[in-house]
Amino acid sequence: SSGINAEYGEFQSYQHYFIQINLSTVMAKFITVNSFAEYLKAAESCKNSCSLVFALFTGSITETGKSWCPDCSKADPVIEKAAKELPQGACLITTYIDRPTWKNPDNEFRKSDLKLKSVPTIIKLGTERRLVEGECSKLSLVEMLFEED
Amino acid sequence: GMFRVQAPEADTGKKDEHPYTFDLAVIGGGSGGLACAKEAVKLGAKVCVFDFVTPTPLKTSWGVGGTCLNVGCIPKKLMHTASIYGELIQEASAYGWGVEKKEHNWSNMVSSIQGHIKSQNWKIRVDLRDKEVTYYNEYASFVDNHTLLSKNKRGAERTVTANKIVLAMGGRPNYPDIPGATEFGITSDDIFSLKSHPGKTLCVGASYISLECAGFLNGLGVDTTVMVRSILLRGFDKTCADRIGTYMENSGVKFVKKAVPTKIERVKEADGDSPQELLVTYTQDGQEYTATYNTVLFAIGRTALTSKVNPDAIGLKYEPNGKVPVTEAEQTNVENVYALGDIIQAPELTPLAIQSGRLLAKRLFGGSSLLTDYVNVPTTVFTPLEYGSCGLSEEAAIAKYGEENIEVYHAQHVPTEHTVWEDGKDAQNYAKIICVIPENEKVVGFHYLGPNAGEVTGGFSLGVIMGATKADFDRLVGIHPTSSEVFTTLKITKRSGQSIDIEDC
Repeated sequence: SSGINAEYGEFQSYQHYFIQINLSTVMAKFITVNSFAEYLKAAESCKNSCSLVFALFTGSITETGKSWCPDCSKADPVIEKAAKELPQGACLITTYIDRPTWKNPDNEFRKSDLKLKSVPTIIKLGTERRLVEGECSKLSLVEMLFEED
Repeated sequence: GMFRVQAPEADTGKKDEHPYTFDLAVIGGGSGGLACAKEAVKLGAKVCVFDFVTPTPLKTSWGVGGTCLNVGCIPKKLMHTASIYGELIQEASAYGWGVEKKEHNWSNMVSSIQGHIKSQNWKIRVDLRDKEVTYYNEYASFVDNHTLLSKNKRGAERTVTANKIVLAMGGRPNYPDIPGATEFGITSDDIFSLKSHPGKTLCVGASYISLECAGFLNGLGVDTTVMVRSILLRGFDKTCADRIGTYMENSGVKFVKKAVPTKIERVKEADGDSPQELLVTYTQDGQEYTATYNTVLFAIGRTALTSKVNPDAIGLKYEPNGKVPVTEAEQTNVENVYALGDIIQAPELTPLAIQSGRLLAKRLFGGSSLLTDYVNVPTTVFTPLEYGSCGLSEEAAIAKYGEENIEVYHAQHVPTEHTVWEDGKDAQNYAKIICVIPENEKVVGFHYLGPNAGEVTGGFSLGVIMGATKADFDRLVGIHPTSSEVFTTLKITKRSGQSIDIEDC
């Protein structure tokens, strides 16, 4: 467990911050990664420690402060709002993909079992459930994906 | 004086004036129910859909989308395709491919197919939520003709009121009333998600469901037997039904004819890799016999789920087989209650249920008066020899017009693709049109046996519904080389007694 905390150092302090101001709120786990390899590691560790795992693939933030992907920018606040309701034991892995990586038709995200075809995409890992593109900025749809069955 | 100002009415989202929560409640989230709900919401109605699957005795269950998507047309066509691929791989060496047919992996196929189905279940959930159709994964039944009581799988109850109610619950397979049937038998509800290889299989029944299942099982290398009480495909054209049977026998499917199972017993439990053994006792010609199988699949008929919605609470009229009599506008004997899809007496086909669902919604909420045409609905049976038809069987045409008033044109055909490998089974390929002599030889029955039957029949059916005559079929120039072109050069009549065997050139 200290190994995981060391790797996701930022996350550790983020959660700590929330515990300080929201003692009654039990938070889901939020992880941020920046490459396919990091995603695989995060997914593997969550598989064993979390009951519900979601993976969001979204365009990275550029120097402008906004994502290179307009649909992703639109989806961000919606996902953030819906994620607040995720139960303890749930985990959301956000993978930021930069534009050159995504535009390469041979990129690992497309070719993997994820069969990623567009960004943003949110997948409920271990199921056939996902939302793509414009669906990710519709609160009722994201809420439905995040629901426990 | 003082004027009393009425508070503005809350926006209920309802289209019409009535005191109920929903404009429309649909019971059944299958082909017909979903089409009706989605069309209604497009027209501004406030709609809810109830869908619930009672698990099979094997505890098999599935998501929203109904029989077609989950345990019918879709997985059936995919498994049928899987079995055809096996045959094509086998014959590919004639075309120069150095391929070798290896054993089929049942679990991999089921995994692929179920993955596709589940992604479709989810897409339906997204579509309903996006279109603001309220979806309840709950078992609904009548309290009165505007009030439904529903239960979820945990037993929690809900009461909902609606102005119009559409029944589209479909049906489920029957089990015979014999010892061991529900304990040890499976049905089409189970076969498409069976985790392990079925082993030596007995399909009981002569329905298209039994023959389609037996057909793809056999094509996938499963030791397959079909047990039938009397004729194959009752209600279908007899010549075509017989040819399908012959083709299946020539493909290695075993038939036990004039037989009825009387008992199923498990004589050996499944143990690791070795499957269970079931002893089937059956009577044939007054004698009793037994045979052993690993899987017994019953496809002896289906019953509409009408009795499960508490129909007596509203005095709904329905037949012993569950079918609900309706007007040509799908209205039941209860004024605000409608019925469509497999629960009414009509061809049990997805596109027909979808069409009637959509048109009903348009009439209820869109001011339309268009009715669904239940005549000349084309169909295809996906047996190993595929069979497409539109209109009347020869027997039905004779009954309707009299034998002297119909002319039957028919022919055999051999797909060009198959000529490279020689396949004696191809003698069963067949084309037939049934014409009414006093009506300018209008075509009232179209029948095709051969590859890609759905594709061939779909196109020609347009001619049938537009009243095409034999002369129209002759006027059409065929595309060569195809199987469909046989319909443009039909010459031999059944009446002439001439042979239709294809001679070697």
